[in-house]
Formats: sequence, structure tokens, C-alpha cells
Amino acid sequence: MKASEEVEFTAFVREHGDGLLRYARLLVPDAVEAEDLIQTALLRLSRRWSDGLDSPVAYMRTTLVNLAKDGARRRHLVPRPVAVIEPNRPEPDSDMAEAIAARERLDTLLAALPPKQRATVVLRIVDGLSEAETAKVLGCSPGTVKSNLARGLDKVRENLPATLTAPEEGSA
Amino acid sequence: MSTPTLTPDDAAALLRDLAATAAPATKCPQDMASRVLARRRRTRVRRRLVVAGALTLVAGSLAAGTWVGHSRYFGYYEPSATMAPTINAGDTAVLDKTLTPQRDDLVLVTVTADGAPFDALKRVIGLPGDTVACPATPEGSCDGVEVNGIRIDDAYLAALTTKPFPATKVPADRLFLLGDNRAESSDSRNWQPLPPTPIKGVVVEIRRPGQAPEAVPGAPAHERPGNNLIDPLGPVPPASVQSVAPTP
Repeated sequence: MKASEEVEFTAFVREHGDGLLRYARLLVPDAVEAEDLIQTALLRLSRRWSDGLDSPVAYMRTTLVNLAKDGARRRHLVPRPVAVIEPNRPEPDSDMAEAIAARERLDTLLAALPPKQRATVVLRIVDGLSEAETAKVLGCSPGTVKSNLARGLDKVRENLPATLTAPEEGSA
Repeated sequence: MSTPTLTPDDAAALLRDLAATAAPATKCPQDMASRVLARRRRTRVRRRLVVAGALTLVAGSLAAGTWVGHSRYFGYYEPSATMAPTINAGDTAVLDKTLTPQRDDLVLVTVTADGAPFDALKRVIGLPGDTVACPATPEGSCDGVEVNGIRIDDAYLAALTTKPFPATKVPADRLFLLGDNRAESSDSRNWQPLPPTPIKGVVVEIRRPGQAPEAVPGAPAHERPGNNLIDPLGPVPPASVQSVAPTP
């Protein structure tokens, strides 16, 4: 990587880092794993940087989904502890309490979904990608996206009452 | 909002809301780019080192495969006393695989005795066509080996005596070989007729432990290796200077 490319790369990470990390955070159950995921994906992106990718963001999205699926496969074989402690980020102000509560609920809801359904829900609902775009990122047909989304949302609806009590009251 | 009749759209909206609320708590670390770039540099350096190591290994093996065993000179560790006192057990002989043996040269030959082949150093006494003999004196001993009726100069023998043996004519493509340790050596005096065996090399230098290299006593002068490469092993593939074998 040339020095100019490194500058470009740094600018890219500064601009899209937050968005991509939030996206990664929705795909995996904890913050540490999300950071691991984004580092690995960025490393792969840095290898391809000189090739002049059309859209580095799209490349990152696809890579992150693939890594999340791999990680889920590994988690299935080697179970990790359920209780996950969020690392203390430097700014624990009052707004963050709400955000952390929301994150906890989100994690509980999404944890019930298998990796592909989870990725579909995240891409379609939260990121607002179209069916065709989602299908491209996930490497499947639009029909699969549709059915995965429906099943995923059904599961979210099923689990919703269980998550309503504790976090909701905490933030209220 | 939390009614059991929640529609998928409601669920989607809820997820969107939650994600939007949770988003600010997730921030990409400031040094993420530099972390990734540093890692990339490290892996690249490591990869280059591995590649360089692998290339060195391959080149080294190729060089060894090409050059080992291909030098003009090679070393031979003498395990027996057959050539004492010229070459004692434990000395190393340096051989030249390109020379043709002359009279009085020391040569390394492969001999088969009792069905097992082995290497041995011997001195060339008779060339093809020569008649070699050691006539007995009236006392029953032999004063010296005669080649074509002329007594050879064997000052290199020190005081070792030779038992008499009858005259032998050396056939073509054969050499009459004797060990310098005439009392102990097994050589052309008692070997049965052998098929032609390649001579592996001619001794040009003797290296005794703790002493400077020296030329072979009693043998014609040959070019010595000096600083040239001396193979620790025999020639690869086996050299065949001349198809000759010791004869009885």
C-alpha cells in the first residue's frame, strides 16, 4: 500500500467506520466480536484497496455478513458464555443509558434468529436495503430474502413480549 | 404497542427505532485505521520473511544437490591398517577421481569378498602386461617384489617383510594391487580373479590427524587440492576412471 492509499484508507475508515461498526454490531451478539469482525474485514479491504473497488462500503457489507456467518458457525461448535459484558466506552452519560438499554433489547431479539435470517432482517429493516440489494449482499435469490425476512420478523414478534418487561421499565 | 396482534411492520418499526436509539453508543475506535494498517504491515513483513526463508531453503537444497559429490576431489577415511605405515587406520586420504592410475599410485577400489562389496586402498604394483613376482630366497623369505624381473624400490614399506608368491602375469584391463602392510594386507596375492571393477580414485594427499597434509610417499607427484572443495562423500555418480580390477 502506498502512502497516498493509506491516507485514502484512513479517510474511508473515519467516514464509514461508525456506520460499519453499528452494522457489524447488529450482526453479532457482542461489541468485542463486532470490533474483531470489522478489523478483519478492514484488513481484507486493505488488501484489495489497490485494486480500485467500485464500492468499498458494499465490499465491507458483504465481507461482514460472511464473517458473521462464519462466526455463527464457529459459535455453534464452540459455545461462548451467554452473559456478555459490554466494554466500558469512555462516555457513560445519561443519553447512553437509553442507548445501552436499547442495545440490550435488540441483542435479545436478534439472538433468537439464525445468522442468515438475522443478516436479512438487519439489511432490509435497519439498513433499508432493497430486496435485490440484500440478495446481492447475501448471495441468494430475492425470494430467499423475502422468506427469510418474513420468518425473521415472525420470530422477533414472538419474542417481543418476553423482552418488553425488564429493559422497558428500566429506561422508563 | 405490545399487544399480541403486533404486525410485522410494527416489529420492523420497533427494530428500526431500537437500532437508531442504540446506534450512538457504538462508535468506531479512533485508531481503527492505523490498527488495521499496522497489522497489514506486520503480516506483510512476516509473509516476506516466510517467502524469503522458503526460497533460501529451495536454493540451498538445489545448490547442495548440484555441487555435493561433484568436486574433483573427495575424502576417504581409512578404517583399516592395510596401507600402514603409508596410511594408518584413522587417517584420511584425499582422492582425485579424474586421474588414471600409474605405477606406484594408491587407488581406491571396490572389492567383493565373501559376497559383500567393500572399498579398499591399495598400491598399484603391476600394470596390464607386467609380470609380478616375489621369489623366495633359500631361507624361505622374499627380499622384495619384482616387476618384469626388476626389483622395485619399496622404501615406503619400512621394515615390513613380504611373503614369497609366484610370478603372475597381469591380464589386460587389470591391475596388480598390493597393500603396503604386506604382512596383513589382503590383495592381489590372494584375491580370486575378479570381474573388472571401477577404480574410484587415485590418492593425491594424506591427512593425518593433527598434522599438515602430505603427498603420498613412494607415489608419483600429483596435483593436490589446495583450497579446492573436497567432497565429504564419494563421487556422485560413482566415478569410473578405468575399468580395472585386481587380479590374483
